[in-house]
Amino acid sequence: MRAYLTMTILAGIALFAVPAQAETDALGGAPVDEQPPLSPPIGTSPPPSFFAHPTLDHVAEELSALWRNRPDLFEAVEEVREAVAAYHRGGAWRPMNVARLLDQIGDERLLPLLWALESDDPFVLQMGLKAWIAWRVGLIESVGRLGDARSVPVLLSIVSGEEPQAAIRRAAVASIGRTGDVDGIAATIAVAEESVERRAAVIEGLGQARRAVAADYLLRVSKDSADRRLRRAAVRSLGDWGNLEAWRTPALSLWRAEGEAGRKAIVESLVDTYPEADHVLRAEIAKTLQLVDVLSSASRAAERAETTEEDAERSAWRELEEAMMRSPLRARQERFR
Amino acid sequence: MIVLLVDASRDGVIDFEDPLDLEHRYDPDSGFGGLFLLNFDDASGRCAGLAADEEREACYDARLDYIVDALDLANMARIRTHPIEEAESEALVGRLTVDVASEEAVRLYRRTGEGEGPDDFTVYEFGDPIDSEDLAQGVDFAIEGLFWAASVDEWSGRVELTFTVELPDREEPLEDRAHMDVAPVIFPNHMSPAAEVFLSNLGRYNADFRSDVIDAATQAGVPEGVTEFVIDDRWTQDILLTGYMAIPGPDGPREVRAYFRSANLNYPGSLEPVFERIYQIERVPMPTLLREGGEIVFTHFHGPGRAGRAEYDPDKGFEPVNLDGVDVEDVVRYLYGSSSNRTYPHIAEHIELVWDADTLDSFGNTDTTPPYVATDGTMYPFGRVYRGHGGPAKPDFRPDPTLTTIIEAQGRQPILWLDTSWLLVAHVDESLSFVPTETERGFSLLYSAPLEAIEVLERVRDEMGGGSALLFAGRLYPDYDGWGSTSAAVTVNQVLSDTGVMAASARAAVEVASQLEVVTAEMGLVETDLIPLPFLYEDIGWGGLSAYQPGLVNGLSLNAHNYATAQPEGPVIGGVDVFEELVEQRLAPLGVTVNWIDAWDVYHVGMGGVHCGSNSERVLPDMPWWTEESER
Repeated sequence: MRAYLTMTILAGIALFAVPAQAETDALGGAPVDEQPPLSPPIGTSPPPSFFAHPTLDHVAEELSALWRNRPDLFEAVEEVREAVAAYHRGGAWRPMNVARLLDQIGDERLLPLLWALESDDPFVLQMGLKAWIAWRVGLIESVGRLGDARSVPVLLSIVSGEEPQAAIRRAAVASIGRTGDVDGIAATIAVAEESVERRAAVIEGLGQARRAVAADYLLRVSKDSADRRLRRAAVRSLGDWGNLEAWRTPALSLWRAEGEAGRKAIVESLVDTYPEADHVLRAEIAKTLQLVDVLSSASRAAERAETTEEDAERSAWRELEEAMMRSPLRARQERFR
Repeated sequence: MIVLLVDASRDGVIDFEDPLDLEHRYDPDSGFGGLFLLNFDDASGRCAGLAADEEREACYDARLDYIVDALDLANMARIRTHPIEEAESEALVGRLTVDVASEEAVRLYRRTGEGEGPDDFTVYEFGDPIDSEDLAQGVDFAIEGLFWAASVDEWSGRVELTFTVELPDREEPLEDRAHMDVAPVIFPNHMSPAAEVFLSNLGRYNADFRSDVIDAATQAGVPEGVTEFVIDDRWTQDILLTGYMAIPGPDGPREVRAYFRSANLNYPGSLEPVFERIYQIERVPMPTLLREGGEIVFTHFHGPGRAGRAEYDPDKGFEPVNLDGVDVEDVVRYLYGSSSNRTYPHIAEHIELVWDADTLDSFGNTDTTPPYVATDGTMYPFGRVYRGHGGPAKPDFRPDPTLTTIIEAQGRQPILWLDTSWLLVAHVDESLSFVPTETERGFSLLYSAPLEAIEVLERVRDEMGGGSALLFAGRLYPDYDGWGSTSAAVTVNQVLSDTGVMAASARAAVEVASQLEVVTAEMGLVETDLIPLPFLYEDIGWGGLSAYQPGLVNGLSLNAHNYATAQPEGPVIGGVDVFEELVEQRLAPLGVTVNWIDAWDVYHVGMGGVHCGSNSERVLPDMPWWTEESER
């Protein structure tokens, strides 16, 4: 009986909805056969699938409200997506700055972007593969620029999931990093430790995760990994992590103490391991140390050169010291010291 | 007298009285010797109108086994045997052969008719007998090159010709030899002024850019002005690489210009079925394998005296993927991150390898240094080609090896490699550029100086009170076919506080310094040869860097006095753009006027600059290239 009544009520609602459509037509709306397919336009009612994505559970209510009250945000995301698709249909021979297009939507764009990351279907959207990759990287980058930890579950699912495109995984790692969310960064590192396939993308993206936990992991990989490619990638990411010009900007002031400690640890570790490295890794170490702290690196290299008894080590540290003294960053870092 | 003669003296004439011709006809290390051309042009224009890439690529005169017309014949070097007096009375048999490696690489024609026209020559099979009657008159041959040296196994580009004459009373034939070298393609450098400038015409979208470049070319007196291609590809630099081949001729050098189509691929060739499906999803027609814009090499250039070439590997030299037994639909679902029955990481990796490396095949990533003597004493009278790649750290990040191998096999302009893997677009023209200048060396190296850009802005803020001054004032981001535009303007304070821009610019400074170390160590450049041009960098999310301010080193060198580059859109203090002023002050004393180009819309916002959006053919040097070798 209850089921019967429920069905009757639902049928009544459906019946009620149809006459409203007919009234519109009777009042001069477009003929029925020219009307677009019936689907709730953005803003009128939330699609139920907002609540069907575990990665959006924590923001599902907000998303629903935004869908109803700010349909313009979702429309703006759609417009950018169309622009991306159109650009790539024309033969895209240079990357498109998708993130900047999305940034223009404004600071309230986070949830619509997360929704796009979770719900977009390239087959429905008819996006070519290059367009699809560019779209996803752009979405992720623009999310990352907001530095909002609410994005972490979605981004982490991309890092740890079945995403086949390394560029997308890398971008997701970088964007998790920009949130500064230590738990999110730690979870990302855990993915790298469990999965060889995902490790490279994590290491390459972690340079943007300027928290101690990321630097610690990168330092470990730079010293201990048996994979030379990963060691180089870790050293390079340490250069991004410890980039002194980045640490001088206001956005990172909150974590300045971690930055100083991290950069010190990078200098000590990389200077000390320099003599053992092959010439390719040495080149990368030299670049990283320039970005992190030229003067401390030069001092430490000089000190190690003076105290070692091994000719090969002394020669390596002298070479490193000279590289630091030639650095274009030296004068600037001297001035700021 | 058994004498086989070529134009060993390189004066354009075979002369049995010329001691240089005689002395050096077989003297491979002398810097003399015969030269011949690769017959890659289309002397009669028969290839015009071909539409399919495969047909166009296969249509050039070396593919024919006859001489097309007088121009075709004129571009073939000649070989001659001295009349043999004894042949008038004795039954001699002559033969002309080439070394084994050259047999695939060249074709000989022998004059069998009475006249000197193309119809008087027929194909000569190596070693075919030549009878006494002809030996008595002396025999004329013409030679054409069929393939690049790099394309023929074991062939160095040198042909060893052997002329033998069998005498009835001798067991061993008498013989004479000559050597000939295939003329290389020379890639010109900026020491030669621009003869003609090329632009893509995108209608109203790049009208301002084109107008400014045309003004600059006019001011510079570019002899043939500006030619515009109505194509849907704004990066004119990327799609076309010009060069020239030349040999001595009786009335001056015989030249064939060469035009290379970029090896940019829409998709890896071995994955065509997969991409067929992807383009169906996208609802666009399946494109050609090669970047469409590059077809101007055939539609505009290939013809009489102009050789259009497409040199590429459909999988960019990476191991092709075998799709036998593979479910294409399932692969496509996997590539999009959708649920698939199986995973195909090797296919995703192959696409990533090809697509990542593809940018390096755009010709913004290929240029030529001025002539110089290297620090190890090696002379490079034509300069060296320089290209970007990933170096030993990223060996798979490199251009298609096909063109690389061609250039290297020629041995004249061996490639100087620079690490460009830190850049998003990864082209050498984003951070370095050689321009002719009034200096002792005759040229300067412009290089990007992001740290100086930071310092300029700090001075504007701290010493000029310009923290609120705007960069990119009045400019809009971005302009993709008219979709949405917002102000790009940003204050000096904002830029100096931007973590991403500051970090990227510091990284760029270190990487450019590393590039400079390579170039200066090789070329012996000193500080006064290097001109820093300041502009900042950013990372838009792919890990590589791109110019945040318009890239000043990405300019078009028109001649020794005119350099066209993008307006820097910097802060204006006292009515003057501080970056414009700085650049002009730096280049004016070197005799260079800067022509400022409005390159913001379409170009800078599209990740490129003036050099990327233009191309040029250079004036050929007065002194023929072979003179350099002969004089060494």
